[in-house]
Amino acid sequence: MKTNNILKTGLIVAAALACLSAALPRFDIKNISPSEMVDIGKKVVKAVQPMKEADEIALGRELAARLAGSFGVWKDQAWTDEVNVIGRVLVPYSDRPNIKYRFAIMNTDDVNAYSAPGGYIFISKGLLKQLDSEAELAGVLAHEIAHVANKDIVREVQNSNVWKAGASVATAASDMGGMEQQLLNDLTNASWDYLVVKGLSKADELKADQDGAKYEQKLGYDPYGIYNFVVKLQPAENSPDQKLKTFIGTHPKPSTRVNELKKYYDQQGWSPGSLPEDAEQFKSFKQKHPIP
Amino acid sequence: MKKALTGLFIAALLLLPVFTGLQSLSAQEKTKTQQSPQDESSFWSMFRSAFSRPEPVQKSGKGVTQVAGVRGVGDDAKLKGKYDWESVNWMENYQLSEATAKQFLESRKLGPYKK
Repeated sequence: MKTNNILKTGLIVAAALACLSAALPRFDIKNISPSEMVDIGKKVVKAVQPMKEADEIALGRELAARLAGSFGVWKDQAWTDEVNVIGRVLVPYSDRPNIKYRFAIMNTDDVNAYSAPGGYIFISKGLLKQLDSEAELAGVLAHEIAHVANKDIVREVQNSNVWKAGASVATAASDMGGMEQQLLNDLTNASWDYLVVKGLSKADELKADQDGAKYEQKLGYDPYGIYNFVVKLQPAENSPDQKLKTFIGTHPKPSTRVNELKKYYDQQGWSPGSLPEDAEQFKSFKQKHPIP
Repeated sequence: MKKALTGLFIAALLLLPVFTGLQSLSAQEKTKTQQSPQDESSFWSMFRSAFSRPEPVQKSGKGVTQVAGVRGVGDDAKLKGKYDWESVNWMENYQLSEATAKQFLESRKLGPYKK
């Protein structure tokens, strides 16, 4: 019993020292003053605590500005209204209905959609051209809302060394309530890599497909909306053209997504066409407001 | 005094992962147990609560506008430094009236107006 206790204590001390040395490489416990101790404590707290909502929104704004700057924003009133009304009415059926989502259209023919932390969601003009029904549009928007609700980007950056290393920078800033600009820039760079260059994990993408379908079904659209969109990308999965290259490169293969969605629909007992798609209405809207 | 503080510090350090782990778990559970609106009034209450939230305090990019225009993602390296704050502000200031959303939902028989 006594040996066990000594062993436990030893393990705890070792773990503490390991945490300490990982978080604070230059920490010298013998020469530390109480005020330094408080500062170090703050840094450790910042490094292990979940990102605050205000910080998430600040990061999302930076990423949104970069997405808007990189692709441009197509400010067509009719399409902006269409995307916003469908996006916004989905929000109460999402797993995170308590933040303010914003939707915009990227001025590019590339087929893609992005969601930045804090609810900044972008869909491309090229993707809109591929859609044949409101349920498909709702499916894509719901998928992006699910990424925000699941905090996929936030989780990735929190696990990154940028967040952990940035703790000391953040706490050095006089404003303890928010992030220091340098940390924000570093996190934006890391997030950009996840969002635009590498893509999120396969598991996160497949989960967003399922959650998106769930939100869509709760709202009352055919949950096969996202499925019908992804099916259209299948022929291009092995040799995508320029417009689809990034999308295919940053998402699981369309055939994998289709198969996983099928399994999910079966589990839920949903069959295609059981709820409206509003294809005719969407078709006439597209004819009335052609996408250049 | 110094020893006591050091001891306290180590104890806090050891308890921190437990505390933050619980906090994060409870936050996660909070997100996952969000109830979908069951009726018209709860739908609009949730809708209002999300979209009437105050705008974030803008910490960066005030007045800075650099628009790259239409580009592909192939030239990613070049794109990294381009920011368009004007469009972010436009996106944040976009207004959609509740009446428009209601009309949309009613016309499609969606949400609280499902058959």
